[in-house]
Amino acid sequence: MTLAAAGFARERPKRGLSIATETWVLGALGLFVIGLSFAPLLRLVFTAIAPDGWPDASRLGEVLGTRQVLAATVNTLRVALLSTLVSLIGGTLAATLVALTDMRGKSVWVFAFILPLMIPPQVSALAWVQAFSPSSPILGLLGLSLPAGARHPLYSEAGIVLLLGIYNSPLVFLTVRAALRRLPAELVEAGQAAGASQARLLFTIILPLARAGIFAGAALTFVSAIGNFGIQAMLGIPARFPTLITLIYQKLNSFGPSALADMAILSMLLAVLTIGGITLAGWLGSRRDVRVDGSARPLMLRLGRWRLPVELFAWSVLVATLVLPLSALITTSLVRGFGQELTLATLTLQNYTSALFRQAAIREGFLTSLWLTTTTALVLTAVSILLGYFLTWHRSGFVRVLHLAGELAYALPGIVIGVAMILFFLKPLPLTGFSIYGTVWIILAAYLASFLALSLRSTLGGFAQVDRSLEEAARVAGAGFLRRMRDIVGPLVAPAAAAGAIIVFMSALNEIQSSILLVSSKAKTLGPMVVFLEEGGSSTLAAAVGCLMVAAVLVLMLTASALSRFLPRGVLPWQN
Amino acid sequence: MTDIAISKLGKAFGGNRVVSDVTMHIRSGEFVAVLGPSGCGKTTLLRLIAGFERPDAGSVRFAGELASSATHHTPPEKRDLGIVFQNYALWPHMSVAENVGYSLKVTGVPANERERRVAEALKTVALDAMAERRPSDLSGGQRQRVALSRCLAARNGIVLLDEPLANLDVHLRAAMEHEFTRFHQASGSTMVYITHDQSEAMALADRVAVMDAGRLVQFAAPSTLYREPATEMVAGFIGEGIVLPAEDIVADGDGRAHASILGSPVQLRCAPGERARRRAAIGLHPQDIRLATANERGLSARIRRLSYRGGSFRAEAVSEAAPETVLAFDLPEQAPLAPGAAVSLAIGDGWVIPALAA
Ligand SMILES: Nc1ncnc2c1ncn2[C@@H]1O[C@H](COP(=O)(O)OP(=O)(O)OP(=O)(O)O)[C@@H](O)[C@H]1O
Ligand SMILES: [Mg+2]
Repeated sequence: MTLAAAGFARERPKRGLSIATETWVLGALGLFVIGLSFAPLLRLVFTAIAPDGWPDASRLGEVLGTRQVLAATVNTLRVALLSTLVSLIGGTLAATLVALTDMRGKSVWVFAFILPLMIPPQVSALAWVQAFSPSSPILGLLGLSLPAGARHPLYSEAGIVLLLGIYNSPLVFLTVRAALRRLPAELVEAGQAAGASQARLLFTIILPLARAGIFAGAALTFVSAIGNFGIQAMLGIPARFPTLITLIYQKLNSFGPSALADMAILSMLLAVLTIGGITLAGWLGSRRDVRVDGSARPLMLRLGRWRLPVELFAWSVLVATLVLPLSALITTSLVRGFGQELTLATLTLQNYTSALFRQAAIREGFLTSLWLTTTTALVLTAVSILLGYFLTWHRSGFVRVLHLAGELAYALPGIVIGVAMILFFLKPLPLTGFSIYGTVWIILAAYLASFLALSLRSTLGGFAQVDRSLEEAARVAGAGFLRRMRDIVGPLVAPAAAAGAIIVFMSALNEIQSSILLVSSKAKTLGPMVVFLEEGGSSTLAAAVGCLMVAAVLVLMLTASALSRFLPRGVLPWQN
Repeated sequence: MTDIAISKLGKAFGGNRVVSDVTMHIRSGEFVAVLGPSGCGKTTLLRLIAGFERPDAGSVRFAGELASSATHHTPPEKRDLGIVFQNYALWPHMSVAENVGYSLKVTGVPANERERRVAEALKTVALDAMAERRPSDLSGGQRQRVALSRCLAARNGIVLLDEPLANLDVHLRAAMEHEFTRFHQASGSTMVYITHDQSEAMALADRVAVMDAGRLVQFAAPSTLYREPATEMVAGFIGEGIVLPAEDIVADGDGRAHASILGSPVQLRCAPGERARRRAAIGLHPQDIRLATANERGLSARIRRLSYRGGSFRAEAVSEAAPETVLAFDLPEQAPLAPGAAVSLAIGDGWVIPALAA
């Protein structure tokens, strides 16, 4: 039997001059990334170094030379460095416990340890402020209340350092844990064979070998601390302790767009510090010790009789840094007035009903944020799948530039993106005569620029697990580009892309920095709401909104965890 | 029907020339194996034919129609060919039937016709009972058969296979070789089969193309490759080939010649145009070497190693005149020889490898 004798059903395609689908998809991706990430940042740099259209360094010198800016820069560096030290100690200790010891209940502990990193910083700052305020419901419960009328202990440089340090510890934890996991067991076993005690092993062999990871984590933490607006604003503004990021916010808040040119200069300074830190982290991270190769078998140091005390210590740290502030937040959200004791008589859900239903401004914030974040997550998932395809299988200089632009926009503090967006979109869009400044669209633009890298990272993890031949088989089956993306590539990277979408959703929902610059009476989002409410004296309402945000984060994290069976390892940072 | 005309094809990655100046014509319905050592550019040649890579020079034509050249490129999805990948490349999120029917769906074949052709293709590879399974629930051999039936259902005029058996164990390989032959007979497709296993190539193919360092060295029927290798590389590569230096070659006409190998006279085969030469390389196989009889003037050598092959021993001997050349031959099981023994060897046949064309 000769099937072929029946002739070939498929018609030979006609050749035309049509541009391949790949080409215009790539063009559209380029327009998207360059238009949203690259061009606004370029505009920012241009405004900073050429405020009147031609290069002019005098204004640059003038602005950077003022006492206020110098003080803010010094403050920024001080809190960033000191808090990095705090994170370094906390994160390394945690990573050592989790990666190297036989502590029990690790996965739950890791989830709880990483959780603060996922909670919006302004909400954790609010939680801490409420926990340590003179009329704190929690300290009161413990019989420890501070003298009334005293200055709040966290409204200080030390407070900022402490909170930033705690907030960023998970970042160090993640990089150090990764470094420790790569350590070959042979090296440690050799040390054991030489008769070294476990503590000696840890300090003379293991930690020195992991030092590149530790330093890389430190550089990342430094960058993150510089760019953490939520904590610096919630504590620094009442403490009259200006940092670069709060200075930009306050200036723009009081002077509006007239301060833009000067703020572009400060934003650029912030960007330079950030890029310096990132470059350092990248360099340190890539500097592997040549001796570190071999089988990466998991190491296990036995805690022996110290196991129970160590476990108790680990959990009590979590109680102090997570449970205590969060319970203060929850308590506050459940009473009518701040400082009221929580009893059955004072218990009320009024703040929640106000936040969700009665206060139009808050409700609208919720709704606006919801559609903004949903749109961002959906658009970025589609863009990431397409861009991931080119990055994985058709790498060219062009797509690498797009990748870099995305990573840059993500690494820079949101406030820098915010300033860049205002500068870029202040004038009406060409052809339409319509300016998106002051509308919700400029916030969407900022989100799309900021979070592309986040969605892309996770999607690329998915692509790495897909064999190229699966896509090639679809090509030879005759499927065109979009068809392949829909039928083959899309479904195969879907779990990783979905995890990316959830992470983007979470980050955009919590976003405060660009939002707080870009919100207007017409467009309010959830992120800055907590700050506005607390500033306006509605602490209980702020607490309720904060609790709702934490609840949303928890739900999203658990949803993503439920997907984890289908995910490449390492896509979800909070999994052990 | 579809023949493949490859002309002066060249491809470099960076500065590294991976395929150079390959010219070959694969006849319609022919089963061609491409054979060569690892890294010689076989996969790259296949990807050039499939259209996954663009050539820097030369052209590829299907049935006379230009598919690839330095200036023209028909994308793979428009080439109407099928590929069987080493790792099968079955889409894990589709059932076996969906995998087989995908190309028909893409080309818009109506549903009832599609179902009929999928069923027919699965039946041909005896997988009709597994149509609704996921690829992950199949064994390696079954997966490879699904990959084959994908090409059957699509009725591809050309089917390319890149080391399709490399992931299977030895027993399965024999069974699958049979499957490929059946597939070729059933489909009548032009098949290009990449492998670095010469026994696979010789068993399956009508003609074998031997590649070395990006070049096509010889393209001929398996028996020709075995008996009349074009270069020393082919002579050494095919059939445990042995290459020996010979002196004073004299062609006797009619494709015969005589010469002296390591001092002993031998009768050889040569190309019709062969002229007398001082030196030449001779290609032969272990089957051509035996122990000399008492009244023959043999080539004296010493046994270096004996390995049992079941029913016979494979002996490796070296002659003092050329200690770097290993003379391998088979000894019957009863032969009372031990390593170190001195032997006298007779060479029954050999091929004068043609001089390199200047
Ligand atoms: N995309 C590429 N970029 C750069 N070099 C490549 C690329 N693809 C193949 N090469 C190089 O080209 C050479 C030939 O590769 P190819 O895969 O064609 O060899 P092969 O004969 O199929 O080998 P094997 O039997 O190991 O599969 C190798 O040196 C390889 O490193
Ligand atoms: Mg290959």
